[in-house]
Amino acid sequence: MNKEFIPYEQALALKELGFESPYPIGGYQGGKVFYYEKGELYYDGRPMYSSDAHSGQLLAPLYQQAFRFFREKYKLQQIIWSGKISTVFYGYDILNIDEQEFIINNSENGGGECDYAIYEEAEQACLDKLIEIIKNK
Amino acid sequence: MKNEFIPYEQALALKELGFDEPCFGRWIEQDELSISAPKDDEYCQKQHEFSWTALAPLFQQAFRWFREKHNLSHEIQHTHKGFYPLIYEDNIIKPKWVGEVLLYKEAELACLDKLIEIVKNGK
Repeated sequence: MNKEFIPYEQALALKELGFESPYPIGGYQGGKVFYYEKGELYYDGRPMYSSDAHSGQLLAPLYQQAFRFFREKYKLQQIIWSGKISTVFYGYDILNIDEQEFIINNSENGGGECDYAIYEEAEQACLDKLIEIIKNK
Repeated sequence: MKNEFIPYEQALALKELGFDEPCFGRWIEQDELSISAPKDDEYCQKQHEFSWTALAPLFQQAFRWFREKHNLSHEIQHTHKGFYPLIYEDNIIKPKWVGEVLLYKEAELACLDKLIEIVKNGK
C-alpha cells in the first residue's frame, strides 16, 4: 500500500510549500495517521505525535491529496495522459487554471522527456515538476 | 477524511465488478466508513461476504483498478467554466466518453459512475 503515498522527499518538499492535511487518515479515535519518520513510512496505527517539528515525523500525503493541494492552493491542474504507438506510454501536462494556459504541454510537443513506460512514473515526474514550478516562482 | 474514499454506492458497485484489494477503509453501511489499515484489520484486506459491506478504495485506487484491470483510463480536464471528465479505452487518443462540465469532485464522481457503467455493460 506504500504506493498510495508520495515519496518522502516529495512529502518534505510539499511541507515546505505549505501542505497541511486537515484530514489525516484517522483511526477509531482519530489517532492513526500515515506518516514518515526518519524517511520510513508508517501506516500501522502507531499514532503520530502532535507536533512533527521536533519528532522528525512528517505527514505522508496521498497522491490525490498532493495533486489537490496544487489544484486548490496554486491553481495548477495536472493531467496524466497515455498514448500508444507501438507500445503504451504516459506523460503529463500542467494547466494554469485561472489563466487557462498550459505551463507544461507535453502532449502537444510529443516525445522527449514526456514519455514514461508506466503511469506512476509520469505521475511522479509531474509532481516533481509541480514542486519545481512553485519553488521557482 | 471520508472524501478520500469512493462513496458507498460506488464501493458496492466495484465489489460487484470484482474489486478485491487491500484498502485503508471499508464501508460497513451507507453512512458508516471504518478507516483503518490493512495490517490492523482483516476486513480491510479483502471483501466480506455480507452484501451490504464493501472495501472502500481511495479514488486513486479505484481509477488505477479500471486502468490496469479494464484498460480504461481517465482525465479530468478544465475549461474556463469548470472541470470535465474524459474516459479513454485501450490508450486510444479519441475519448470513449466526455462528461459535462462540473466542479472537480463532481467530475471525478461522474467519471467513476461512467466507468462502472461501461464495465457493467461489458464495454
